[in-house]
Amino acid sequence: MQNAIENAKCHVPVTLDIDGADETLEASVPPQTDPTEESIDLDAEAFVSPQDDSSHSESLVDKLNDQMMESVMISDSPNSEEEDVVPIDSLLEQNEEEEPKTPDDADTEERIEDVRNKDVSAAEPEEASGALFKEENEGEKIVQVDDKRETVAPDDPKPEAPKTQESALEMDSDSTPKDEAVPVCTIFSQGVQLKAQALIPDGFQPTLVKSPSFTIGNTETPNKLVPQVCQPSPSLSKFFTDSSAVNPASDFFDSFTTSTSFVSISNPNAESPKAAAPPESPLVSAPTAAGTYFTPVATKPQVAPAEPMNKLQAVFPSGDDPFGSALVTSDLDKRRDAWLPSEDTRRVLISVATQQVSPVQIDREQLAMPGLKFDNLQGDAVKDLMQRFLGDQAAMKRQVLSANSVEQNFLGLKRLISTKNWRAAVDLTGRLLTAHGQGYGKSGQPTNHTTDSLQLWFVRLALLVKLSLFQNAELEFEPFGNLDHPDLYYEYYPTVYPGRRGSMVPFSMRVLHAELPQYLQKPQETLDRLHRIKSVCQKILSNLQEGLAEDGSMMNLTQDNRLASIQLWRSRLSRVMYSMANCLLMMKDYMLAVETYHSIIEYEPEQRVQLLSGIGRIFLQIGDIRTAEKYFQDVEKGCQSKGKTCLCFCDCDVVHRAFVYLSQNNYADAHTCFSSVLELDPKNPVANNNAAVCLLYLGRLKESLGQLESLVHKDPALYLHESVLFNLTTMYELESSRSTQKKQALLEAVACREGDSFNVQCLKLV
Amino acid sequence: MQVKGQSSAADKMDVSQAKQEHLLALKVMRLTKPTLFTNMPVTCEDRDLPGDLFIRLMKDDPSTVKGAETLILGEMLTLPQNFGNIFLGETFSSYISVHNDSNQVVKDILVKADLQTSSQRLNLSASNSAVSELKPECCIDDVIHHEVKEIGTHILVCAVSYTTQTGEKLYFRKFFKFQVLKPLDVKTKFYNAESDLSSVTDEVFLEAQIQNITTSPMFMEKVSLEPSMMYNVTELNNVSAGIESESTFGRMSYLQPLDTRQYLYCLKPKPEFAEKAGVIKGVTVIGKLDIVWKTNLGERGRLQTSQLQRMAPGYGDVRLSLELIPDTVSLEEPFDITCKITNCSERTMDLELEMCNTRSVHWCGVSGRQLGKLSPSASLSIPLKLLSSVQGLQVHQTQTSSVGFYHAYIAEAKCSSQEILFSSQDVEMKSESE
Repeated sequence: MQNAIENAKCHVPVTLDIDGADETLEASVPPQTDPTEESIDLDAEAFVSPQDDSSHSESLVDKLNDQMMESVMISDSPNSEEEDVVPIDSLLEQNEEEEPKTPDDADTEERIEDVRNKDVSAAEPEEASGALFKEENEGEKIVQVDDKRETVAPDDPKPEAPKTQESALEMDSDSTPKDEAVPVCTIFSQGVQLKAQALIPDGFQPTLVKSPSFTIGNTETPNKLVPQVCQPSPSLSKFFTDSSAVNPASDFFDSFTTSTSFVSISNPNAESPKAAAPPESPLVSAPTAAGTYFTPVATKPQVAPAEPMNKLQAVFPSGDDPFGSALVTSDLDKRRDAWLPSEDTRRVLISVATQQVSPVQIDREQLAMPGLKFDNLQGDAVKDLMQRFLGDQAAMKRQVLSANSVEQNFLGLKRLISTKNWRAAVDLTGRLLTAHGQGYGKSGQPTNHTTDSLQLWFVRLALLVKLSLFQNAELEFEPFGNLDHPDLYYEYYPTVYPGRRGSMVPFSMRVLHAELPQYLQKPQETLDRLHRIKSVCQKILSNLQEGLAEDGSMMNLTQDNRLASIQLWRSRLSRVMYSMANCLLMMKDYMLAVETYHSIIEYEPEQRVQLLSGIGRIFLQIGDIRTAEKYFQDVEKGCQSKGKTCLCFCDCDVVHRAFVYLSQNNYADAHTCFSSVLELDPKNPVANNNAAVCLLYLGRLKESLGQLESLVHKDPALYLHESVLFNLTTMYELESSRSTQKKQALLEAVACREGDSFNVQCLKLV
Repeated sequence: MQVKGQSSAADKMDVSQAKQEHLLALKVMRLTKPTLFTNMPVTCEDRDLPGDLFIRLMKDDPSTVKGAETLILGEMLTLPQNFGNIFLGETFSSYISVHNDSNQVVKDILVKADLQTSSQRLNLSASNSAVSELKPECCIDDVIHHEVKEIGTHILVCAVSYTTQTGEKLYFRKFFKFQVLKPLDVKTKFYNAESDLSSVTDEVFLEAQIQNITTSPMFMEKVSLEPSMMYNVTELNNVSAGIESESTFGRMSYLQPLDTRQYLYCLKPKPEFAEKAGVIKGVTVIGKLDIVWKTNLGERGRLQTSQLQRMAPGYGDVRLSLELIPDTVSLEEPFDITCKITNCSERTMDLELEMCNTRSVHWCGVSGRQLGKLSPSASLSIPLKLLSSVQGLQVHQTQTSSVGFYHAYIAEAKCSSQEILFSSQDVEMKSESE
């Protein structure tokens, strides 16, 4: 108890600081910081010891500057300027002689360079002649602010201060909210107290999942108000640490998540009033840890939340009736979950439904038995880079949310996603799935699926794809096969989901599953899978049009229902076609891609302009400028005929013209066009970036750089983007020999804004 | 022809070394066309766990297409990220930047960019006049362009000379090597329009096979045959359907890597050359192919083949052509053909007709008949009677053998029913030159 509180105390400042950082992101930099002081600070950090840096210089140099041309050899002979034709052979020979020297020279050079820079910057901290120096200062300012927060934090009386756990020190720490005034916290601290007494120090994984319905109750309150979820209660932790083959964790977990899933998790926005119970509701103030955690049980308040664990468990197996009333499958669910299983799967499902076969008897090979294939991978590449280039001290200032610093539930997960901490979010999904019994090494073991567990899998896999960790995603997708195992359908669980039909696998997960192979050089597989999805979509649509239910059964749907369903499935169909077209484009099968994009217009008429314009760009990419122009004209005609005069359409007209100029090597006019877009819409990122690119081709490097730099400064939210940074760093490399320095300044800017999912490659530091 | 990492190491070294001894740094970057940024859409539906998070992230992303975020091809331009390949006929463009890394003003800077090929050295700098002074942190920028006309190693030689504040004159050079590759493989083949019965046209067909041997798709903007003065050309690569003519390649306007396309051209001798059969003889120049292609965002390339030469068919002294022959004939019923014999030699000929039967085709008439004298360039039409004894189509193509014997060949026919047979005729001529 004492221990716990102490722990909490020492962690609180850190957590506060994390949120402090968040705040400063929104708030502009306070003016009172003293730039002089800081730039000294920065310089001290900016340059690591010379040896250190030179060790990087080689690898750095190896990978970078690809667009720089091969330098053959150097002759610095000041007097020999020959006009004559040098025979190529002789040049080449010289080249070969020169090359072996290269690394050494570069090394020593780097060292010298760094020492010099260090001296210079230390001596003249206020030099600030280039824009870059300013930038460094600004980055520093932000960090500086964080520091202040950090020191101030402990005394900060603000009650809404978030209680989140600090990542690095986590594992066995509990954060007990110190402020008892907040009702929610009270409950938690009580829970913790109880637990703390019985707490056995070892072996805990902070994997506990808070009940989804509880989460929902808090959705309206800002994140900061949500108290940290604490350690599992002893009984629970036993559950979760037990890795015996019986897998009780999953059994237990299933039972509680399923009960709430429709009401809360899968329909976060369609929550029932019960789930949205205010924090002071009796269930939340339940005195036992179990009660606090497993509020799902209490989605119906009359089910005593205070019941001890064993009793709860007892309730579940026989709990059909109490829940039956809650399980009103909404039309929304029915429409969303509809899917056509394969013939084999359908047979199994029918036999389960007619109770000819109990799920236990079903061959294991027919079941999906997923498990994490890797755990705790993630980390933060931005921080690693900072450590490498700016030193540990600077890296310390980098603070992002980690899986530990948010609520261990869907809400926390969403927070991680929206703050672009996708790596941490992957970690968190891993924990939540572990709690569900589908953790590391559990692949191949029978398990029960729920709406929630599949949503978690979907989020996890989607994030892995977003992070370009395709191999990992493929590995973890593998046990799901074709997403057609009988146990991935609601009908397989007639007691848990009475009356519910259709697929537990979200449609988006099917699309993701189909899209994945193309990133692993198997585009044909992607197309096959997409075609399979497409044919199911079409079949469902034709069922609906024939007056049947989605799955082809005779069922009376109301007209509204039918129309809504048709709309949903048409949009899904168009999503699949988009994926196909995108895949074909990646395969460079341009003609089919164009055809497919074209056919999407029928389904998404409001995207006609974007699609035609996109097709035009495809033709530009091929080099077929005439056809591209034809498409661009179509867009304009379409706009005119509709009489739309809004800004964006004028824009696209000008942007099209700019692209055509660009492909005619007429960079001057292209630049004028992009600039004229900016007059109407100064914040247009595309026009800004493209105008800068045109400037470079016009030989106006400094102007181009200036434009991009000022963009990144003025509106980092928009311009600290991969594409812009790629351009900026490329120009730094072209501009001077001090590009590394300037890139480091960018790194600092990135560090105080971007989450752990930032793709550091675009900084071209490594 | 990727530039290897080592190259940039060398590049880096240059800079450093330049700085050690020099106040200016020289950087060179090849300017291929920018590319369009593609993003990777991952979507979910409202009712999935992330709710609207994914779509919101995509909408906030500046590189997505607003309103159609699932479209991967955005509008954001990205600068070239590697040297890439350069092909014969393309334009080599490069940015040359000379930056004053020092903190002193540098004077009289002269930047020179030369391109050294295996056969020549070209000056590519836009201007050859010196810049009078360059302040610290300032740049001299130059963008050079050069249409590459040679295959193989090219070396860009950049030389910088300048004067320091102390009046010291300094000079350094940097070399950038790159390989120019062949973009296309062009094969040509001539066909002589011998079997055109309506007239002796001397038409020549040219088939050109063009293969894309680069690694990226190529849009063929123009593939045309520029004929030599003796010929008129008709391009046979369009099928006219109504007003609009459609390419024989369909809507595929581009060539994928390693794809081959066949272009066909028909060449007709201009009347003044066609009149005299003897004029077009031996090796003749037909013309050359002019090929213009485009790749990413209009990166342009253009190549011309060398003059295509064709060996005019060797008619020798006597040329036999068929003027009239039925498409189908009945079995065992005589039919008529008309042959035309032209004297292509410079002398008068005395001709004798000798008829040799084959197993299937039999002559009706007298063999060893004298046809009389034929003066140079004159021709003679002879009607002949044949009989076919075998059903079907036979193609006989016998080669011109020893002097004096000319085996003509014919193969014509179509089948429609059993009663009709195909005949092939074999005419053997014997001529004696005087």
